[in-house]
Amino acid sequence: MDLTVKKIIFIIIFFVSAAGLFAQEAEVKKTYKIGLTLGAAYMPQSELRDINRQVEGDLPFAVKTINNFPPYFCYGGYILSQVSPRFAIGPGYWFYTTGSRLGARDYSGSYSFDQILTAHSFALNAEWLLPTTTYPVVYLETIAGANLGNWKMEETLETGGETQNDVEELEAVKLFFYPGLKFTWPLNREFGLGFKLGYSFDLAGKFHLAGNAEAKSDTKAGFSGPRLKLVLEYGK
Amino acid sequence: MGALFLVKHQGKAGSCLHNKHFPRYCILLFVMMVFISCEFQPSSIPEASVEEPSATAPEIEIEITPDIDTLKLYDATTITYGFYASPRQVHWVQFLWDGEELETREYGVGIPAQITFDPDPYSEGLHLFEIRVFTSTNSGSIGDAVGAEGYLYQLQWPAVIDRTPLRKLNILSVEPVEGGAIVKWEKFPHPAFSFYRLEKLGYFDGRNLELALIDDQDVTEFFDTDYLEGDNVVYNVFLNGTSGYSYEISEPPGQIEATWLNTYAASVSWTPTLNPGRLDYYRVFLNDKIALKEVQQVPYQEDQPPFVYDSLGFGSGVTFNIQFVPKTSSTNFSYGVLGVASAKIATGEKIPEHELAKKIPGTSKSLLNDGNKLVLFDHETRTSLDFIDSDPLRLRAFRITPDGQIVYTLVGNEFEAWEIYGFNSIGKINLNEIDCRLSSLYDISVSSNGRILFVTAGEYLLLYDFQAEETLYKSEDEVGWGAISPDGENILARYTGDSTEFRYYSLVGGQLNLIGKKVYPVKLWPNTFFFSAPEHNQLITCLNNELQVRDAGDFSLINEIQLPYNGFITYDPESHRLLYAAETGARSTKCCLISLPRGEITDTVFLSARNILLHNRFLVGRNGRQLNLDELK
Repeated sequence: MDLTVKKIIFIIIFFVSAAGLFAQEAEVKKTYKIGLTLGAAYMPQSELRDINRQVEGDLPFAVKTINNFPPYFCYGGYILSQVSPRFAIGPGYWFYTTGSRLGARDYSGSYSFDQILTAHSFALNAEWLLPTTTYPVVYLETIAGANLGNWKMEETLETGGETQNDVEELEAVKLFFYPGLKFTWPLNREFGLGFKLGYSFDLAGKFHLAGNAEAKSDTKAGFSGPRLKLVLEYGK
Repeated sequence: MGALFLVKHQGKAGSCLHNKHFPRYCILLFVMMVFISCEFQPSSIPEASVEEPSATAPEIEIEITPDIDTLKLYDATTITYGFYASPRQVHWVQFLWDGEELETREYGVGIPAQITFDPDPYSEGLHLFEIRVFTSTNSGSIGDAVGAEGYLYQLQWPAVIDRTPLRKLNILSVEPVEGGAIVKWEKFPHPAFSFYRLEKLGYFDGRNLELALIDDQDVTEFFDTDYLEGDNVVYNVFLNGTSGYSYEISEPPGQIEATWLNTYAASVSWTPTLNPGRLDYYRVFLNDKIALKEVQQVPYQEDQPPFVYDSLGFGSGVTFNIQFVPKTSSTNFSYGVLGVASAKIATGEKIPEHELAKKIPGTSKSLLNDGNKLVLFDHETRTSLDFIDSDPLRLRAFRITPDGQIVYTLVGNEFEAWEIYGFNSIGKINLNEIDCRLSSLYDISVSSNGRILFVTAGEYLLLYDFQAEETLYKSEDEVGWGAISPDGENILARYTGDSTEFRYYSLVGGQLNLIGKKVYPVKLWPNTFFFSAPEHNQLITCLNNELQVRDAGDFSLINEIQLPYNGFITYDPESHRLLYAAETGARSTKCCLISLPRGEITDTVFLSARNILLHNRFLVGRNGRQLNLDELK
């Protein structure tokens, strides 16, 4: 394991063990919470990689894979209402994106084939305060909702000063379920800082051509994958 | 340690985050995030090192049909093309007409490499058809791979729209050459041309052949190995199926030459055929203007020996004819349509051709009437000595006195006497002055003492003394014909009535004294009575095959000779010989010369005509030949 990763894990364990003592008392008194998240999401996209391989094979010239659906940043936020001392629920929104690029460039021009996936994720966020005695305060978190997904394929050929551009967009509403854990540390009485770990599962929904809901694609392009986010939370 | 660390920071952080407006800010930030969502940004593409291609285009091989310098258009025309630039790839080909794009199409396997261009919307005249070809450079660049980089080749083709319509073409010539004939026809140098089709109809066996189908408009001749000289054929050249003007050829098959070998023999040779492969045989035949004779089929030989004919008859020419008969598988053919080459030959020495000859007794000379003049001709030397111009339309007759000194001519009604030697006129009289009935004259006979016996068509005799200019005797009617003796003292007359009677008179004091007579069952005609020369003093009558020789003094019968049949031909008073046909042959008639009065056969000759004059030892034919009987022996 890499040294940097070891350090990160150590720091996380340290904060969890050191801050857990006072967690319970402070959190149960809040009536609502507002949180902002910023993190990274990884969505493997095996079938979209197949598309890239097929495009690469069909092209009459050699291309390189410049990007291949790497983990990419995501952000979002939520509002939770404290329904019971240990249970809070509320709406949330997150934005996810990733993509790939095949490309080539020489004196005569350039070529690129991009696939970009984006999702506006609207969901109901619920959390259960787990019984801990020290910080961090730990929550069992579940999020369920819908990803308003967009899958854009853009092919661009530029030769001799002329550019040919071909864009195809597909859309989907994909239901998902996310289980995870949230770890927070209070910064003062209202603000807390933490991180969330979880995995999002796509449950249903297919992509279709934008503007034509009947033209559905069987390609499995989705948003399943692990999530790691930093959380800044305000509660009162 | 961990908890302490957090507590310390809690106080510091609380002061900066303790904001009652934080929820509002969060909501605002939340909304902004929704609308300002930043999608995935792909990385930039690094540039690869690829060598640029040469600015000079390499060679390309172009094949275009029709392969002509100038594109000639009449109607829709299909142009096929092929471009070979391997290993480079031909991406596309573009067609332009006067600079305007007609079509751009891909080029490659499975794509038809042809374009059909219809010039109908464009005006007649000169235009420019352009073909552009775009090939890859094989540089390996993106531009090369997608066809954005390449070499552009331009082929500019002058194009002429010519709407000259199809027309009927003429065959210009058919020239027989060795092995056949070269047929040439008009050129049609216009784009409406599609093909020439040359056809031949042979009349000989009715064959209709398509000789050639030619799709090159510049090829306007064809070597017809089927042609044989003299064949009667019709050539026709079709232009795109439109019939042309037919050209019939029926020329004589070369030259034929006949050479007189000896009295009755001739050899015939001819130009051999130029196309022996097509010849079945030579067809040689005689033609006497009525029927074909002696048809012979002579096969081809490389060194053709002459054809020898040994049955020439005297008196008329013989025409040798030859036809080249082509090979045919048909049983229905006609020689009559084949061309004929002819050559005439006649036996005998050549003399002037004439219509009528009369011998001058006591000499080897004759007077020949060729229709225009009377010619004094010497058979011995075969030279013309003198002549009298005669009016061919009005010269009705001429007679020579038995002593050979005077010739009488009858021109119109003018009866004139001439000295034969010098042709000096010694007297003339109009017959109407003698008797008006002489205008319908039938025959004249003259004597050496100037007496003229006229026989009219009305069966009437008148004896006139030219020197005394008086009429000596006029007969009663129904005297059919008569002749005066050489000395002018006797008349032989034919009377007609219930029977035909032959009477012989002596003329005494203007009266006729009957010496003798004989009755014949049928009418007697001229050329059945003859007086011999005075030294023989005999009279010959010839009726059918019965020849009688009588004494010209008392009309007594001296000899009677039976001829094989009515074959009398001619009699010569001087030599007192008579020529008659003894046997009629297929080629000529065998004739016998008999001396009178005994009737001994002295010579045998072969004749092909009967209008022969026997003048001592010469046979004289109207065909311009004479035969010396002495040279037959």
